[in-house]
Amino acid sequence: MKHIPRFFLARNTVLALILLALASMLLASFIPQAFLLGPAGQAKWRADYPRLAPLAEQLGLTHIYTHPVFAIILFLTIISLLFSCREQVRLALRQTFGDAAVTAGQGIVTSLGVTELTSLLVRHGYRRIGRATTVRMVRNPWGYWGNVLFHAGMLVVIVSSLWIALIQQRGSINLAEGEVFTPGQEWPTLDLGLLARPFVLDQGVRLDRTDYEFGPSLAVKRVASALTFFDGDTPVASRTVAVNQPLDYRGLRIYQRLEFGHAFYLTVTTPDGRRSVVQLLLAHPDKPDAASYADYPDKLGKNSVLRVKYFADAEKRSLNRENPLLVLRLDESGTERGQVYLTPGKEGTIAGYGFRLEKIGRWSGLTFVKLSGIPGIFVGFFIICLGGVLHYFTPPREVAICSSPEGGARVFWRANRFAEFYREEFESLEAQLSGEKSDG
Amino acid sequence: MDRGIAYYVAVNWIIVFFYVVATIANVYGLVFGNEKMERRSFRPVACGFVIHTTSIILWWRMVGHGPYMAPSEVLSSVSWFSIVMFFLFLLVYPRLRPVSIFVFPSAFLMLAIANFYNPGIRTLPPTFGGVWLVFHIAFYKIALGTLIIAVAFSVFYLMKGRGSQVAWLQRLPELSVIDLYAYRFAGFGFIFWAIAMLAGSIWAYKSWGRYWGWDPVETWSLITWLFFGVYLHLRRFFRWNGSRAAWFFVFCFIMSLISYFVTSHMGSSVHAEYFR
Repeated sequence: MKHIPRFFLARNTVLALILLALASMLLASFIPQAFLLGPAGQAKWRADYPRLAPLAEQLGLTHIYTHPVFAIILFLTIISLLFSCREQVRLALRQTFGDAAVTAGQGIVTSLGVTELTSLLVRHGYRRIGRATTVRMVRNPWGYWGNVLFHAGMLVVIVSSLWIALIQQRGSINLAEGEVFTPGQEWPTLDLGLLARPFVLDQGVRLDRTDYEFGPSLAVKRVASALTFFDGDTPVASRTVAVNQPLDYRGLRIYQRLEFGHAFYLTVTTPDGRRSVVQLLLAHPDKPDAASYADYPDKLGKNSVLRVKYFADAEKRSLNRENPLLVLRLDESGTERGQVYLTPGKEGTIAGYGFRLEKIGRWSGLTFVKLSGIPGIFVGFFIICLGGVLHYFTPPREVAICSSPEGGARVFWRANRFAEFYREEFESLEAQLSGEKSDG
Repeated sequence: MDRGIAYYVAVNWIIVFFYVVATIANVYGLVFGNEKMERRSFRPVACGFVIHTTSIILWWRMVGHGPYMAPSEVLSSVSWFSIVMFFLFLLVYPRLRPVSIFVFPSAFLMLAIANFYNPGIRTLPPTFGGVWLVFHIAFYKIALGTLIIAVAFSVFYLMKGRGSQVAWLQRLPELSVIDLYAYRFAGFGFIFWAIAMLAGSIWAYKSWGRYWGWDPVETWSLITWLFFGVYLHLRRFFRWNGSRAAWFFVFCFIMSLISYFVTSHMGSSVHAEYFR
């Protein structure tokens, strides 16, 4: 059975695994991934690359990170890291606590005794390891653990990522002020892990108010939403969530998305006299004199498209004035039938359809996340960094002291890694020991 | 405000002047073996650096955010970090001194390019906040400053390794030492890059509820890190060294530049707000 660990520890296997992961990522960065593009983006990509797109889709290159081959690469990497960690721990234990001192080369001959030498080296930051006859002293013994931590950290990160990918529940909604999202209601956007249960909120949530603020250069400075949670019909808690200030509530993490705007409530009267109330959620315009646009092909029946635009301020002067102007345009079979300009309480008619703007409010985008394993990611990352720091910044330096029968001792010095960097350290030690010339 | 921008640009040109003077003196000193001139080249760099630091602080106060939104701010701060990292490492490793021939011109070039961009004031999007963002950005700049040192040693190796008898190349440390320095600083850069990614993932989790989104900038950052990992693996376990390793590191360094300066321009990235 020894050949299995040997295979996974082989330098060629490790290199091949890194290169395979690299190749997957390079492919994924050149071939647009479906989850990044969204349905509209995918359709455009297919239209732009009619030959490449079907082939890429057939080979699964548009979803590389969920492709079985990528899963196999990750699985093999985990196995390799497991064996590697085991080996590294054994090695680090042996190096940290073992007695075996390295006595290569001629060493420095000194008249100092072992006890004096030990005291001198302790002053230089060396610690005695073990109790063998040949004294072994090490500076920065924790440096032996750098590789262990580095590999263990990678293992923790990969395992935690896979765990999160399997169990995460993430749903996004756009809520208008006063609107309630009830438990069991369908999520407009839902991202579920492969083994995750259906994402159902324990309590209903209502958006009470959305506040936003624009800076002098018209960039968004702040977006926040006041929420009320309901147990049945009973309000049980009120909380606020803002961009960069996520809300933790009953095992959920709620994020304020940077998506917000005005909600318009229209009463629409059809030519045959039927009335209905339509809600339009439009993204906030970027500038006072620029509009935000949306098309609704499904609101007025077949062949009719309701094209909508709105200005945050009817006078187009400021983004901070609550004075929206809604412009409706009706297209039938590709032909414009007319436009109406509406402010709250105003009405108009296009091609027999009556439109009355009843009221306006605000809306904002919220994301609800339920998952575990995030601490694993961050702890793993910290372990990787700590391991790297120990490995590259604190390489251990070892000294072996062999007492000589004629009195005095012979001292051997070596650096575990990057010996040339510590040549001055060795030379200073050599000078202090006032011995004869040595090759170190 | 416009006057403030004009002063900022003018001061940046003054800093470029100091760095150019330092570069000329440094190159002259190193190439012609004029030790006095080489030593003196550190004076204009020190002057430029003090003004550069002041300029960054004042601009920070003026725009209300760190130097990480506009291309001019990003390039200026990377230039500043390359000088800082060089001097910090020089304190610990005096044999780094000849790397100045690489660092000084890099600093003035980056700052000069920064001056050609419009330094207009950008407001930070609300998602761009918090201490983890500062760590995230700072460590990428630290990593880049460190990688410049590593690539300088790799280039030294390639130049000296050709067997050139040019005098100043002969004054550099032996090839094996140059090779080791390139290796060691690549390791430092690799770690700083990892810390930058860690801080970025914490920031992303706080801002968007996800620690990793395979966004183009994130993906290229990881690709670059893995390339550095391949380099280190080849050096350690395949005993790669010399010209082969040096060439491969130059390639990795170019990847890091692409990752840092090019991928941020991709419109589909959440990082697109940054460096526009």
